[in-house]
Amino acid sequence: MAKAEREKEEIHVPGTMALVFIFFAWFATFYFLAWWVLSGAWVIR
Amino acid sequence: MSLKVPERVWWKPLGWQEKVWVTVSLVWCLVLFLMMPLWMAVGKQNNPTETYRVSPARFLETASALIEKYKVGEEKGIPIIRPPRGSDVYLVARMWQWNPILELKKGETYRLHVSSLDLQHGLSIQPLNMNFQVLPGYDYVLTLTPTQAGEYSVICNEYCLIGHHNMTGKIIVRE
Amino acid sequence: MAPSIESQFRTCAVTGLKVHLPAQRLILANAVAAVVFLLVGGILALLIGLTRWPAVQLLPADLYYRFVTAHGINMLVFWIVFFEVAGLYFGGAVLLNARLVQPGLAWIAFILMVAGALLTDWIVFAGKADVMFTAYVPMKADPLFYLGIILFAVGAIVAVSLFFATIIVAKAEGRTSGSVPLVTFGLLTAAIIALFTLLAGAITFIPTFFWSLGWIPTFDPGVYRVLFWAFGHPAQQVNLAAMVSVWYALTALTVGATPINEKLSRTAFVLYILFINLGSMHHLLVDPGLSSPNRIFNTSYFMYLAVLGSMIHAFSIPAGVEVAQRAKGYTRGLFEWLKKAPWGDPGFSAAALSFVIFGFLGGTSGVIIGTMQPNINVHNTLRVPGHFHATVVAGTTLAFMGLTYYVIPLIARREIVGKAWAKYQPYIYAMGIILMILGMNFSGMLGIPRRTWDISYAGAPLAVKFPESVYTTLGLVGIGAAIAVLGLLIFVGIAVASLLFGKKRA
Ligand SMILES: [Cu+2]
Repeated sequence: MAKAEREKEEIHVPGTMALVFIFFAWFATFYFLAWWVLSGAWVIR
Repeated sequence: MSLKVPERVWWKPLGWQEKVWVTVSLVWCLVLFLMMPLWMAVGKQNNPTETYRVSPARFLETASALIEKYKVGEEKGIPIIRPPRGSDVYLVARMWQWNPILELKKGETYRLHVSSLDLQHGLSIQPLNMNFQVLPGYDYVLTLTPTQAGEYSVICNEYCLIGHHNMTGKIIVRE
Repeated sequence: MAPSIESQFRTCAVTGLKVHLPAQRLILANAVAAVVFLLVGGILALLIGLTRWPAVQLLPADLYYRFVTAHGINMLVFWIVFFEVAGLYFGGAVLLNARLVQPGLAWIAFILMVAGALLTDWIVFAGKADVMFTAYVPMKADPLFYLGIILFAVGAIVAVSLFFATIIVAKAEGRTSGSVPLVTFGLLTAAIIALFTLLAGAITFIPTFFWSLGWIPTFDPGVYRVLFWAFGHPAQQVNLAAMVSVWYALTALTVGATPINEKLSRTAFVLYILFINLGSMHHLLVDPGLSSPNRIFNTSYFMYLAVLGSMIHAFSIPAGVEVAQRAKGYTRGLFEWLKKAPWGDPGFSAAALSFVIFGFLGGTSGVIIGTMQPNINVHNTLRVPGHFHATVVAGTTLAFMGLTYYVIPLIARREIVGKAWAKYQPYIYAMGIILMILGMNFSGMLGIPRRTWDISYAGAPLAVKFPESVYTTLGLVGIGAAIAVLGLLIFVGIAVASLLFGKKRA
């Protein structure tokens, strides 16, 4: 299959791309927030 | 359609948008994994692992001896102990009390032994919100250094029958 | 032989599927049992929620602990597993145009499950097993409590096995050829996880049963926790795989979505089987007796590849909807396809809300609180139920509710009664759950323990003072629970009314 033809067949979902990256930003924010909160606790091992 | 048998050959290459997302996800999963060993290397709060087998009777005996030795007072009939800096400290969990009340010094490191005499309990230090599981038969050693002075409540956060919500204790940290 | 079997089928006018009538009856029986236990669990949820609201504190302590135990078992086990068995028979027999093998045995499985559930509930409500869903030893319940769970699990194992046999026979008899549909594939992964989950359950509860009878003198509490969570957590992964399958089914039924890449979606399901946490050590991150490498390995399997599976579905499912909607001409801007989606169809809105709440609140919170060190701040606080109500209630239960709106017309062949109510039901339910989840999470962050009757510690010798804000966040839990239960009651009302009085479809 020619490259151009294959590209035409490919699916384009810009809305979904936007949604999943919003999700990713949320996930990463809260993930690192948990570490930040933990760093305020007593020293323990 | 997801409800119908797919076409004969469905093993097809991914589009570029799918590839981007799968790559981002894979890298993110690697980050999620690496954070744990990384924090073990550089972080100051790590999950205690030191554990010994101990019978409830033996644990109570050791704890009682130390209470006897370092007792400095009492509150509501519960002994308050002031252990030497950097020593081994014993905290007994039982239905429905944490015993004794500990008086520690800020910035000193203690080896806090916790175990239960009966059911499972949950050691929960508030308002710090640090939480650990306490099991009968296991001497769990938390090597900890209080970093702020103040009075801290100890509650039980593992259900231990009808008196569960009355199971409290206290840790006092002095400057 | 052949003609008599063919006479057991009807052809569905909507989907064109050949429906095996004995399978249809079993799907209905299991779904009805599921809804009955959902109702029981829902009423308990209201009472518990109003007890955790300090301004109300409805129940006395003993009833509170008893009802938390009953609520956990009825919701997490009875409601979900009965519905999943219905789903397996649907995905195995109906979607493949095949017959359900051994319907007689399937009825025996059903009876075992009902008997086990009733026995357990009877013991719990009689006050002989105030031990919580987890029943951590050395806390001991009446032996019949464990026996009831074992009976239920045996029935479920038989049902899951019949699902596997049905797929094999469908292929052997030539009723389906090639790969199974994606939804059936997803259910197959759920069933495989269910099988090792139930086996772990047997390894946990049979010795516990013997211990409760005194046949085994001691039971190490640390070992029990490892065994219990080898059952308890994978059980939730069954719900996860089943829920994702339902998302694919509902987006197909409501907007005609097609998976954008079968390879991708199926690989993601396989990741669930391979990398779902067998040992589920993330329940034991602050337990004595485990090494750090053990904890890290078991929580992540080095790579969190099951998380990768979920992130793939998080892309693949909306992408399928977007492609289907764009093909209908909704191509303006980034989000016209989403705006013009059938938000008034409870099948679609339930799937969409379930998807969003599960993703943003359920899955992410699970990864975060299940990370080794941050777990120190979370273990046994209200954040834990805050997490799993976002996965198993807002996620799985809401998705199953959405599917019910299609099961009733397609399998029970009754029109939905109260369509106007059905239209709003997923929103009411979701709104309540979101409020409750947020309340639980905020309370947990402030240190409020889970499963505790009185956070004022009025009866305790040493006073405990939480920040004043916990009275607001716990109020949110109570109010959210009440709204969610209202949504649940509307759902049960619609389901029951439709089954009894819905207009019969041709
Ligand atoms: Cu306790």
